[in-house]
Amino acid sequence: MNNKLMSYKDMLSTETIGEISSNIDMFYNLSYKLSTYIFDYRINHKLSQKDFAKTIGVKQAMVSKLESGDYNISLESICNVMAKLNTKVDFNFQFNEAQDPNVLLDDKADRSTNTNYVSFDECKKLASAS
Amino acid sequence: MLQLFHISNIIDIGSDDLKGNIQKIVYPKEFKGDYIFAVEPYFTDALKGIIDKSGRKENIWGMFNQRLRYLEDNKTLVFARSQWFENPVKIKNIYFMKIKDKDLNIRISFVFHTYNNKEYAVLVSAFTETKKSNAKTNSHSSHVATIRPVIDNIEEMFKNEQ
Repeated sequence: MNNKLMSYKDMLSTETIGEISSNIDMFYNLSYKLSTYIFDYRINHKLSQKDFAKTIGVKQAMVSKLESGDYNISLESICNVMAKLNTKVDFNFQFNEAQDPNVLLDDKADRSTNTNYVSFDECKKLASAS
Repeated sequence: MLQLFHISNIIDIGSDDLKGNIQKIVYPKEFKGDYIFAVEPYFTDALKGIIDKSGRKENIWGMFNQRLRYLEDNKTLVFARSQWFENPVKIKNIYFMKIKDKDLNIRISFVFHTYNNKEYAVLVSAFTETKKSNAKTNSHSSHVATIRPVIDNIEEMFKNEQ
């Protein structure tokens, strides 16, 4: 029987959210960038939410939502607001090969370096050989 | 029941720890940074009690992470962003993060401290603010009264280390 004491952090690790980025993580990450950009722009220009709302042609309540960090804004609205702020927006897409469902990783492989993976075809060959 | 820590129990146990029970954020997910710490397990116990009941762990983490990033980047200047942070005039030297998710109105209390000539934010506890009917148990003042011994203990610990 293993009587090794678990540390507080080990115990929590069984209950924490997994390391893999979820769609929710991505949403809040993008919302952070957008809301912080808008908030910083407004503060740097010494504008109240009401005055800033006039600048970008929306109501004050919309500025509050934009700065909240959890408002699900449409792409079209982002473009409308950013055009008013003379700001270009672009997406960066980063494909994560280590999380590709078509690639099976060895249990102990280091996901960050991704040097020890077995392709799906190779895996099928291994399975049929065993 | 408060779990107070004692100076005699303080041990440096690695880079994730500022001093003893003052540790980096690991719940609901690890937060990487070198400015923010939390009183553990006191802080996580309080936050866990709120998050586990909510059924919206990932959403609350998303918003909590936003505020942590903002605090890490802007330090004591965060209070300009009043939707996310508050510095109540009537409460001296205790500050709050604000997380509003559906019906939950979460407040996370924190303090600033200097240790080895470096400034840190230390998260202390969390509570849900409710309407006036429950103000006796879910208000800033009742929360501050509850966490005051923990904060006094932190202050004493850092004072002895200066």
